[in-house]
Amino acid sequence: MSLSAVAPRHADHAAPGRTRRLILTILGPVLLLTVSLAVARLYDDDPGRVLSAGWPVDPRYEFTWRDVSAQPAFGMMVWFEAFLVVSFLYYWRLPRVQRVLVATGFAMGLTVPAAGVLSMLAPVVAAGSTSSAGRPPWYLAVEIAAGAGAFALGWRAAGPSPRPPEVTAAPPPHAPAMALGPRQRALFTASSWSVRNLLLATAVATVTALTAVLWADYEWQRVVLLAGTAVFVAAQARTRLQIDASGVTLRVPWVPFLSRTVPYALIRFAEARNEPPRRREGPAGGEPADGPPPGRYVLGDSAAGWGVVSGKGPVLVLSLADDRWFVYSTREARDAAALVNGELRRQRQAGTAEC
Amino acid sequence: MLITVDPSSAQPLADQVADSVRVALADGRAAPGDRLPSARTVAAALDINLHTVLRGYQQLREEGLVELRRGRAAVITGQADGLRLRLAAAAEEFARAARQAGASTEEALAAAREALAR
Repeated sequence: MSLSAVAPRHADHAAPGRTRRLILTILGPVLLLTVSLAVARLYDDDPGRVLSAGWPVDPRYEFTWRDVSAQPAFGMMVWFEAFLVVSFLYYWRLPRVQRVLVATGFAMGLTVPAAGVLSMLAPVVAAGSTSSAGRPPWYLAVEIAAGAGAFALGWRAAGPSPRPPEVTAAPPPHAPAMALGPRQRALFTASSWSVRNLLLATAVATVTALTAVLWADYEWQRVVLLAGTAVFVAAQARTRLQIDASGVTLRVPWVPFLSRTVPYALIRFAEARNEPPRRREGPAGGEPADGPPPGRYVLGDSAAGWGVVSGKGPVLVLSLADDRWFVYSTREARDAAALVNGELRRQRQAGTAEC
Repeated sequence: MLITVDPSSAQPLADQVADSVRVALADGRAAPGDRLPSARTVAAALDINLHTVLRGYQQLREEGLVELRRGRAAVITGQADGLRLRLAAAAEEFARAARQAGASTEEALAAAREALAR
């Protein structure tokens, strides 16, 4: 039976600050063009040096549409802008992702001119060598630091994300719930391996090995980045679910900063399903089944929700206050759902009694 | 793995921790090779003393149900006998019901024998 029909839906909780986040998202790529143009102007007496350093700007420009739109940086700006704005529209109701987009826009917009300035300052480049292999060792570290700083600036400029409204209604009466005594405490734990992440990590590791073998002399920075990516993706393959008095926590033991807790105040109800969300079969084929829509339930946010789905086994499904879903594969999904509903019922009945 | 404790119960907390694992084994929700949550995690989540959890885990180790190694997670062993555990859990439940009903040990055993003879 579907429980979603009885769950109340809320107004657009992502609206506060969305215009500001959209403007800041658009601003990021604009910075790429304007800052690049402004800084390149400082070198207009030596345009050959700027061009040989790989800048996406020719400093011999006039402030006309024709000149500005002819700059390579203009093309980069248009592509970044399109990517960010389309992503923003796709995640229209996800302020947390919008904040990441603002930060990404700032990182894109400021890293490119920063890299240009670094190219000009790097003594080897200044001496005439433009190959990445000829760059001094500090170059990559400073470039990454500049990108991280720009990301942090965008993150701060976007401001805190609005919180979804807290749920106060008890789960539906027919939702499976564990009877918890007034002082009883419970802990549920489960763990899962993501085959998808392992496969992805293997693919990236293969590309890393090929790059190392074929281009290590010229592209060692790329090899390091690829190897780091492979390790990062593989480290997300192992996850743990923990349900206790504080809420539902998804832990990534090898990447602790990706761990997240869903407090009970942001959960409407829980249910157990025999298999992950998929499209309904039959005459109405193609229509989403009741409950969570088919979608990607991974550690990162998507419009449908987030979580960890591995294989075709049972899943714990949480209906969240922001109209999305949390889905986690565990063979003990029934126990987990009953515990969440039991805790919700106990907390919300106690809350009602206090009023 | 679901572990519950009730501080208002007369049963010691360590026994409650061990019972939770026994029940999970008895009804097949836990299987050999499964890992128990770390004692530290259980203690923090249930707001009980770490040594209480370790006492509960020690009981399970003495029964041969889990393997405990320093610095590693407690793992359910292959010796966990499903039938024995199911019987133990059913007996535990029966004993609790008999005590609540005020039956003496003799009365409870007589009732069990009678039920088995049917």
